[in-house]
Amino acid sequence: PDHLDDQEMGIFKKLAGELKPTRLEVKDVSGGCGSMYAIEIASERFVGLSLVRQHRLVHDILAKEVKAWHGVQLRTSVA
Amino acid sequence: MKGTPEFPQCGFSRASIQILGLQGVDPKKFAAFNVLEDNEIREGIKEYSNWPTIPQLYVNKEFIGGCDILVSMHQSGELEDLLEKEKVLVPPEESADANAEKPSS
Repeated sequence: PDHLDDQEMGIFKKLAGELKPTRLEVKDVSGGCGSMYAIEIASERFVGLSLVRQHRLVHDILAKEVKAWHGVQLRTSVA
Repeated sequence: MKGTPEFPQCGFSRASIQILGLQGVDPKKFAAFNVLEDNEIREGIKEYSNWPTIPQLYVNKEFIGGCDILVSMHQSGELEDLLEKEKVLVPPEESADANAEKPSS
């Protein structure tokens, strides 16, 4: 996707690589400060997992990044 | 949470409290901790749950999730089922207007 800035792209690539999602959106919602992201992701890897486990999976992949952020908005689904 | 149920200091904490109020959680069964007042709790709870953000909801010692999860579960009806099962809602014989009650902290 060409509408992502460098940081959004970094996050996008990491999640795409680990979760092979069918749908993925990454957006900096901190007004360009790189401190809060809204992420929407649908992946077959989430099948059978409770919501909190799906979110944990994403958190684990982005553990290093999330530490530096103020917050994250996550919307996960299996399809 | 960040802030208190009466004066939340963050939109996500505020949204979470509102959802619990809408669901009719019994204030006597509820406690809120303001991480902005206590940095040890703020960092400790993140280590404890291995979850990087606040607010965090626990029901009977089990970590349920943060604001996004609460919103999803609220919309799907899953949250109501959980709260009923865990017996933390205001019993039906009491006040009909659960929204007016403030959770104790």
